[in-house]
Amino acid sequence: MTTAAHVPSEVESYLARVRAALADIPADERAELLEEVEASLHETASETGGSVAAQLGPPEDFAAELRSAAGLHPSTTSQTAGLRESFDRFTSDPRVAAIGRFLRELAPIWWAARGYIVVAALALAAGASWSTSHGAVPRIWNGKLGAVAILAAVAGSIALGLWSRRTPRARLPVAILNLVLLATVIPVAAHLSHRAEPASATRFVIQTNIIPGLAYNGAPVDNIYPYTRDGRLLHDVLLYTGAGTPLNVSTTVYDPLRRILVTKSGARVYNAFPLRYYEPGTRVVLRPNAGPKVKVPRIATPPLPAQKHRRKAR
Amino acid sequence: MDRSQLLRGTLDAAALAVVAEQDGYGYDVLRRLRAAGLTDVGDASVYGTLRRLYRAGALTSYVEPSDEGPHRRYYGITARGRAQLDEARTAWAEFSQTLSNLLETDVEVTA
Repeated sequence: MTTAAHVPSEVESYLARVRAALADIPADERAELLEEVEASLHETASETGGSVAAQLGPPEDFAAELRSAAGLHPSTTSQTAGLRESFDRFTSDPRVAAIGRFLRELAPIWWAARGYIVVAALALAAGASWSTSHGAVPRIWNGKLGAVAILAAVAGSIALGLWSRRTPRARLPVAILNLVLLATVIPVAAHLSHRAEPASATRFVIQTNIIPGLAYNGAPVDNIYPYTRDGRLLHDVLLYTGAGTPLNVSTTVYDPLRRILVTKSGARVYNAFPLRYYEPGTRVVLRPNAGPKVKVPRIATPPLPAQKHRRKAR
Repeated sequence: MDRSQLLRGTLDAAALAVVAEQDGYGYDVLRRLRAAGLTDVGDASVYGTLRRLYRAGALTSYVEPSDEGPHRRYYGITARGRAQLDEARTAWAEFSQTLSNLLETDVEVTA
């Protein structure tokens, strides 16, 4: 019979269009509904001699009637359908698809990392010790066996990745596994960063002890004695940096004996050198010309012309 | 009024009545409904209704292998289905009586 061979294919194409029209219904409910319809369509086809569409009308109308009678109105599923639709639109965007392809190409990197993470997470959970020379390798009896375990797990993970790519039903369990392993990435990464330096490495601690006041080659300078080229000690020389910052030496602890210059407006001047100190209980500097024992060399370079004193007497 | 519109609200009761009489699969229920006089009942309406009644717990379902073609999913009525059918009977009796009275009065007025 030629019609007998013709019948199933017509039913199947009709059913496919019904299925497409019900795409927004939850998958399990749709499967049961279509199973019911499929059996009935075969009976309809065998009784009417093949033409299902002639008997039942367009599959889209059939689907609409089915949906309405089954109480699966578009509105009841519109929320998930809308989500799915926008998700489909998102994933079918060429740029998103390109990113997806790119990530798929990078997937082997994750597979390798996944193998290591399994071993590291198990070692962490079991409280295993870690190799002292290679901080990333856990000791399973010894460090070498740990390295072997990592290599085996990486190979197994890559094999799993290749297999799941070919096996659609493996995708969901593998996705769940990936999620679980992603959660263990944090403790493993924390352990690795902690172990980044082998225990034997010397730690360099840079101490940034900022010396208050003046310093020379890192050592504090407690006073400055300015001499002229002909060996005279100067008093109350105000020192500034090139940026015009006064080279203040202002101790955090108030020293009542320090002789501090005061301006006419009463402001204190801390950058006057050499610093001088009063005798206790007095306002007298006992030896104002005291200084370090220096022998000022004889200067051959001619002196620069002295600047005219321009400050007007007030 | 279109018979199919009238049918829409009463198909649940009709399908329950057919299944209560004897368990049946989708196409069988459709055929029996048509044989009983509901000739213009839609195929999809019957299948959809059966699925909905099943989901609501008014019907049970079981699969039996068939000599001809794929297996058949049979539907049988549950206690909840019987209660629903009884309710529908009462409601229909009252409703049809009321409507009959109304329509007869209408006929008298226009006559």
